[in-house]
Amino acid sequence: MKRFTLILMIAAISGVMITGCKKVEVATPVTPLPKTLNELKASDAFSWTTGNTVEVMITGLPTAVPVRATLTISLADGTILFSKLHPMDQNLTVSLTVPSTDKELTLKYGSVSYPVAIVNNQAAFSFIPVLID
Amino acid sequence: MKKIIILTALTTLLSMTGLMAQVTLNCESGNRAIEQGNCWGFGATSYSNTAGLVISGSWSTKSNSLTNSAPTACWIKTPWMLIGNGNITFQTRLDGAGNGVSAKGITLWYIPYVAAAPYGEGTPVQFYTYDFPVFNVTTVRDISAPIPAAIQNSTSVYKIRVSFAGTGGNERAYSDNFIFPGTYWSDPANGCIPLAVIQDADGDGVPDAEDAYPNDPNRAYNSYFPAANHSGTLAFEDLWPAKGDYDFNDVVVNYRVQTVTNAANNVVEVFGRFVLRASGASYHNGFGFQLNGISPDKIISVTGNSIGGSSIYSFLANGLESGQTFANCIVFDDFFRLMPWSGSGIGVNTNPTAPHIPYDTLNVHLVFINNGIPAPGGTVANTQLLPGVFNYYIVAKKVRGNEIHLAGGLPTNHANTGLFGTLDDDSNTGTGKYYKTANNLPWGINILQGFDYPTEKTPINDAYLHFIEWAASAGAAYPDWYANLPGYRNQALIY
Repeated sequence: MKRFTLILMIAAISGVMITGCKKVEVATPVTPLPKTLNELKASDAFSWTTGNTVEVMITGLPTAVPVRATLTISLADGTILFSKLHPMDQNLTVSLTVPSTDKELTLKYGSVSYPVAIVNNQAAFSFIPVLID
Repeated sequence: MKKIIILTALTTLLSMTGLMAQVTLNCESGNRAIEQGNCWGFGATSYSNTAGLVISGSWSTKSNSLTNSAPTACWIKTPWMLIGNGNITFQTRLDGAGNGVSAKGITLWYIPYVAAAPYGEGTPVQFYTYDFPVFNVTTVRDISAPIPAAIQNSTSVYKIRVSFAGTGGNERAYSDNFIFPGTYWSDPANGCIPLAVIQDADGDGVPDAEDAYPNDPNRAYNSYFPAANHSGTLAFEDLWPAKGDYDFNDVVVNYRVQTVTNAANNVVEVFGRFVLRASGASYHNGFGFQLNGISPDKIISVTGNSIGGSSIYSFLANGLESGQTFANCIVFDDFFRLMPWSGSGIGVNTNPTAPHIPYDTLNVHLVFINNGIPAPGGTVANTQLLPGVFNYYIVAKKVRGNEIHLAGGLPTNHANTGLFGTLDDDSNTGTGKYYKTANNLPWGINILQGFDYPTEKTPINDAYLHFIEWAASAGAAYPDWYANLPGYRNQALIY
């Protein structure tokens, strides 16, 4: 009998402990994926293209002498999306349509190329170098 | 014309006229990175605006503690220069009072250009030494170092290195107002190598090495959309304002655009390559594009499009459609005139059991500047003709007002806006919503990477198994839904 009581007590305590540690499930609403296009509601802003409009922002460098060279912005496959003869001391913002699978652009100025990451549909580059001491 | 920069003549002329240029450093940018971008070099030397130590203005250079006697420990290097004559001058001080045992000094070196050497820098040659006194070292000293005869007015380029060195004590050197007689001769656009002789055969200001048309002064650059080596696909439904069957094959056209610009960054011409692939329709549909924001008088001519004899369109003398605020190019007026129905199945090239009709290609040429002379309306800058300006549409049923754009596409002047908001269309000129249903579904899609369209009457999501996830996520999920990857397609439902 004593043994049975002990087992009951252990079971009860274990039950309390297990209950106390039980993770509280919070119901999260899950929107079922539409099965047909007729059920689909798309975002107002969705453009239905496989490209994104990427704003490329270039910060100029105040130069000691006038510097002009060819600026090109390219995709990873080498496709030139944009070219211009560009003064190095001028800022430039240009909106380009980039395949949504591309996460990086290549900016070439003169003979030097720079990779520029696309983050939140923006690609920022500065001719002012980052100092590494 | 070969443009040659004659270094000797330039430097000689400047010397004779007493106008020899100077390369200076006064640190007042407050940002050493700007000078570094201009090809200055700094070794263990920064900028400081510490009151009481700055020599003049708001900023001076500040070396690390001079505890190393090597000339490569703390230094400032000029950009590549054509060295003039006279004296190199600057001001300098230390930031400690001196303890009588410290030995601090400055040495000046010239560095010849050796193309094969790292950074192009040959072996430095020392030509000047200055030793700080051991007491009262915070006093500002005026340094004046004569340029050695070996490099005076040379046609070779050099850098000058100012090295700070020392032993004993932790004093730092502050310096300012550097003046180096000579001419700046670095190229920040080319990794700070010395300026080179520029070959520019057509004299348009774009070096031959960067010029896609080195012998044509009226052209300089090519750009492409969506890519240089492949086409994108435009795929339309044609029952607007009613929803269709979403097989997106009522008009299927591949497209690739090449834009040619000149050295003034204006558009010279545009080549549009359009490949007619399929029309799973019974209607006779046309296809064209509007250049949003570009007035028709900015274009000299349009050629290469295909318009039949009994067209519903009327045209200006330059080949653009008349009665439009913005330039409209009708690429073709009737798909079936160019690719006739085989007599089997619905339309052309959407039923795998029907005969395949060879694709037709139209190479459309829009001229903006001809032999250097722009259209009457003036020039169009390259930033005005980016891919987003091309507003593609079809004209269904040979009814001009029945134009159907990609989602959000601005209607042209000839669109029948009376159909907006009817049947399944939810276009609203007040809110700027165009060619979408109430649930924002489109009548056209644009696949930049190219697209194998579904067979007739196959909803696109049956053929492409992640299309709905892509659309429901506004493009975030499965951005490559069109790819030929395992689990992505039902190949049997793709033409």
